[in-house]
Amino acid sequence: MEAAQIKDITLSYLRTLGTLLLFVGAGCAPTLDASYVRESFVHGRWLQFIQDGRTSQNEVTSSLGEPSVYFQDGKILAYRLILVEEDREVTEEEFRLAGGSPSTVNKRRKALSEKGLLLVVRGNMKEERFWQLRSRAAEYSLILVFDDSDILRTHSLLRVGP
Amino acid sequence: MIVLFLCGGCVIIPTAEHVEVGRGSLDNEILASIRTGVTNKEEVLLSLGEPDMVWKHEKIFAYRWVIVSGHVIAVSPSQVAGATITNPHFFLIEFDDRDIVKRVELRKQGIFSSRNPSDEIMRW
Repeated sequence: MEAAQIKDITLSYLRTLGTLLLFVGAGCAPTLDASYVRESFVHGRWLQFIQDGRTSQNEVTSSLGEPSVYFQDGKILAYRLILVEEDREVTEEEFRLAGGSPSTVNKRRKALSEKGLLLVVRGNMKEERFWQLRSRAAEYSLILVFDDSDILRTHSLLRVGP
Repeated sequence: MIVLFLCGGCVIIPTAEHVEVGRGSLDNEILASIRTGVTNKEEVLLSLGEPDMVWKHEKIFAYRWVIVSGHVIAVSPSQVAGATITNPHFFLIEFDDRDIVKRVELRKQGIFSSRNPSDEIMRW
């Protein structure tokens, strides 16, 4: 890493920390609105086709692609999903400049609820889409359990970050 | 900040503990719901989600999260550097041959520990 990059990172770090301290000191930190990243909202918005007792494994893999990982000889599928911008990838510079004030985060969450993408994270993506992963608005774990006829028996969607 | 620049030195700013890296922390209620000899692998996955590490042919799962406890700012007349004080946590689960939970442990890495937590849990 070059000296200029280190300086950028340090400045960005101090800027975020300074903003945070100002808000806390003033006692007026706006709150984060979780309604657009809540599991129930995300399920209804992007995963409505997933229904226990109805959806087949083929339908799931046709829509979401290969899972992040299989368990119990393919009877359990796990998808790690991130909520990101649909039309473009965040660049390193944008990520560093974006900051994370609650009002910025809330605005982005609302925009993503209308034009966002639930992207499946797989092992080989971790380097290719590094900044997209770092800048995700939310991350989820979708677990799907299929019966012997490959029909969905039960499932869960959990927000695991950030 | 101007005073810091003039004097130089190191400042530790404690923060409310929060998760910075990895999944949100698993609360006590969820951890207590994983019971040795009772809970099976399917139930673990449905309630905790995909593990962060899996080894020994799915016999061991590890869930990892990192708690941030504060920030350190070091200042000299010519340079400023920042760092975050972190505290990694691991929730480890071992399954028996019937995929029932056999052993669980919540392991916390000390803030000032120099050990590599990943190496340690691989030997669990």
